[in-house]
Amino acid sequence: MMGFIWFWLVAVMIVGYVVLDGFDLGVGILHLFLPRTEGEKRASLHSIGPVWDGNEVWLLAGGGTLYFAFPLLYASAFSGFYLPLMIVLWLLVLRGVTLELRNHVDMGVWLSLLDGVFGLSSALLAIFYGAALANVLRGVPLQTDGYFFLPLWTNFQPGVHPGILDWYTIIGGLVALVALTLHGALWLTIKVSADLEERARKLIGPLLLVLILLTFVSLIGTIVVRPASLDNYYRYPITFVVPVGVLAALASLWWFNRNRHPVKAFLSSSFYLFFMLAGPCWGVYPTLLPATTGADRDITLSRAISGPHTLSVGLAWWLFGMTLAVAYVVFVYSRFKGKADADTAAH
Amino acid sequence: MTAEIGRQPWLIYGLMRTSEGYSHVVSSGNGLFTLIGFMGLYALLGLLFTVLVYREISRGPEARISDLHAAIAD
Repeated sequence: MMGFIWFWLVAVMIVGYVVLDGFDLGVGILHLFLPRTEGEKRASLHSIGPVWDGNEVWLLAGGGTLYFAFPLLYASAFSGFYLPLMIVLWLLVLRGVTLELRNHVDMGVWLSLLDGVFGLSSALLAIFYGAALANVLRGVPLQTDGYFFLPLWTNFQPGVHPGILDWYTIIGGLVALVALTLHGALWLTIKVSADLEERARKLIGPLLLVLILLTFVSLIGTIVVRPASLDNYYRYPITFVVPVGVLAALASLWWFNRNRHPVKAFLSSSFYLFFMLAGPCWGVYPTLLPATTGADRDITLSRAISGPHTLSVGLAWWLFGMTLAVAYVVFVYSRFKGKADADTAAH
Repeated sequence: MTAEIGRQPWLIYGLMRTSEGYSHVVSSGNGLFTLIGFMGLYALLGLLFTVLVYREISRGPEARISDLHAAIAD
């Protein structure tokens, strides 16, 4: 029971992170080409200025919860994915620094450099996150002692000894890139005005089309790479509501965008991300990290979970901490209503 | 540094040796690569910090206190 609860608590925190930091990563990706004038660039950055760093804390909190509840998984994944995780950390540093430095540097050529690094690191982070999730679903070559090592790529085939990048994880990266770019464009239609808003809106249709296509490709890819993903669904057919939810979220996104309800379209996109993450979580449950080297080496919930006393004490603190965090999110976003523009005071 | 080096060879003093705690799959090359990466990144950030603080100092405060007093006196 505790295992079930903590599995989904970690999942909830990952969803919280992707939905919240997702849109500011998307705005970062769009920063590469969407805003044309200096004023538009500032408006676009001001639309995420007061919230992006708070959003990123969900990643830390999610990592902390993972470490707390499933130490074996944490140890195994953080040494097996050492290099990619370090690269993610560098990208997060570069992204935060370039975004903040922009307010302090006023020479043209430096500004373009900062904008470029900010946009590129945002795009790479989105791709890394998608590829990371796909790695977890495909499985890694776990040894009997719980260690594993993956090269960055091998022959791009998922198999017993895959690389971090293969055709399946690249699809995962692309899904994340397009989904978060769309999420960011929807955020811009809420938060900025005039030409920039119009250009963001024009991107939504094509992005949505590509995303629908990629969603189906990734779904089929997942079933090919891990046929057992459907077992839980067949055992509890009611849970097919999750893939139906993905389709419903895409449909409502299209509908609300067409009828100019930007907030509802953005919420639909959030639900899309929620269902797209909940789906594979349920597909692997109760495995946390599948082994490509034989199911007996899987890191499962029961193998990885902390002791019962730790978990019950942790649950009380988690509820307390998350109540504070959610109250903070509600407070910040309620203070940050309306449109941002070039002159909105920097936070 | 003092705390980390002084605690050796323990990872958790009296409980766990460093030799029991390190990862067998992270190669020393990877360790060196990320160490150099972090040193480069921090050197760059340190430099930027110094330049920005220097600029901020040389620009000076926007209004002098004596001006404010004068304004209040008026």
